[in-house]
Amino acid sequence: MTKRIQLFCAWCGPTAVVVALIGFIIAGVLPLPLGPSNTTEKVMSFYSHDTRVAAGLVIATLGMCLVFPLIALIGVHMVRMEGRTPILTFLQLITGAATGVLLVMPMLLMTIIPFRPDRSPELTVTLNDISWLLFITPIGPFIIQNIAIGTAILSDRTRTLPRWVGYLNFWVAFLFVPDILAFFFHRGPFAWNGIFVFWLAFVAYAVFLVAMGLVLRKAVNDSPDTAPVERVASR
Amino acid sequence: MRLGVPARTTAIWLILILASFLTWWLGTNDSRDQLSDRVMIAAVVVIAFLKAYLVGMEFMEIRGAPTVLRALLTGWVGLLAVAVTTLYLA
Amino acid sequence: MTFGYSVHAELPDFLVTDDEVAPPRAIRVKVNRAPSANHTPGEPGLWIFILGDMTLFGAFFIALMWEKRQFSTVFQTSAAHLDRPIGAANTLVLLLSSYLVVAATWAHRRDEHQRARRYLHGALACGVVFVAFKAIEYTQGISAGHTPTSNMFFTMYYVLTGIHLLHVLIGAGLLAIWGMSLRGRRSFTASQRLTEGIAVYWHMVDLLWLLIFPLVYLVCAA
Repeated sequence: MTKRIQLFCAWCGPTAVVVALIGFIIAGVLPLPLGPSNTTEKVMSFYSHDTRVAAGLVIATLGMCLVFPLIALIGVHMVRMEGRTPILTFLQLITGAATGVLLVMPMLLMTIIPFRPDRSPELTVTLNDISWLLFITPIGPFIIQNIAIGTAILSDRTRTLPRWVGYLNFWVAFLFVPDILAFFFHRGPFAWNGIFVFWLAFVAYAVFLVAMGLVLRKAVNDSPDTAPVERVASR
Repeated sequence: MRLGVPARTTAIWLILILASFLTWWLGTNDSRDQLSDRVMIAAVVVIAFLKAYLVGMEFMEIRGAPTVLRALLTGWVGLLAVAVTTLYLA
Repeated sequence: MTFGYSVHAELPDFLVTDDEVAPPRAIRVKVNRAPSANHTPGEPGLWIFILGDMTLFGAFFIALMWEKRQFSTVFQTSAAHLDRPIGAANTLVLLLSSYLVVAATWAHRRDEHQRARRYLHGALACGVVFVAFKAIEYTQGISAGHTPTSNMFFTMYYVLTGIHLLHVLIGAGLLAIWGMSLRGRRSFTASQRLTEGIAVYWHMVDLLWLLIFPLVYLVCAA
């Protein structure tokens, strides 16, 4: 039974990516997200399709919630790697939980924007700025999570997970670094919709979710079946 | 002083130092005409990527690694050198 | 070319005098563990990180040249403000540090732990010099009014060199870890993955600067 739950958690990784993608496409965030240099008219016209945008963002938010099960499953495997003092396991759980919230909250904020189409344009632009910057810039928990996972895997002598996954996590951590620059640019490759910010982080995180999901699925399938706890009927 | 580094590696290191002086000269000296300027700068790009290739092959010891790794390094250097040179010259 | 320790090898008769004589001391032969043919430096997984990181910088280089085409005059005039001698000095500093890391690797392979540590200290010193030069450069630039938001060239300059600097700092930490592991006098075979991995990472830092300096300081000014 726990094996099936674990397998479900593993699948949540790739599924989160797919559902978020579908949500973003419906909302119109993909293929071309709004940028800081868009005019007020452009921003207003984007959110004027209020039902479609809201529906798409709700779906995207639900997709992002699916990272929570994957984080838990990563934690289960990290405990096996660390043993008696699972410090990195705890760190991953804490920062992973934070990453989940830091994905969901900005999306909820963005979903509030089409709630009142007759709101003043300045407020709409401000809400748009807030949602996007909160979505893109809080890289700290993500990077710490990746470093915790990478360190645990490479320090593990029992090969719970393949070692290349540790290196992959370190690479993903680096790919998040430029995101902090979104605070400083309204246009160009380092704006919140820029190629080295939005697109790089999107691809990096998607790779992380899919890779971890698939690797953990294999690890769960290969792990020995734990004998079910037998209930001793008292006579 | 016996450093214990294979002679080949030391030789390549000296080549890298010389190449650095060469790219400095090529990159900081304007010549008489536009065309020579562009050729010299393009040469700077190519030499820089060749230096990167040597560091990978000799220092990172990719030279003695499986073919796949050698191919990946060569591919990375080659593709980037072509892309950067094209973007510069075009 | 590998030699083995000859410990308690079969003794020829003339060396055996009586039972109480201690056997001759083991002949300590220098082991020179050159990597075998088709050896992947570090371990295969490492290269996902190394090639991935190099690809990130490759994308930065292409973006640099792309933006140069968009803003060619801005790039020309701005790049001329960069301190080229200090950048060139940094190239030589990193090349020297890489050579010292190679020397440390070979010393470690021969189990010459003290010597390897000295070479690593040298490489670390080079790293410190690099960071110092960078600090001077950045200070000069910012006091002259050139900030990351000044124009597209300075954005690319500060981001490229900044992310590279981050790599240098992490690399320095890794070299220190390698140095500390040498104090434990573990054999090279036991720590091969870690030390070759750290060496490859440092060479990558060198490799990237060998490209950053010509492209950012020289080509952009052309």
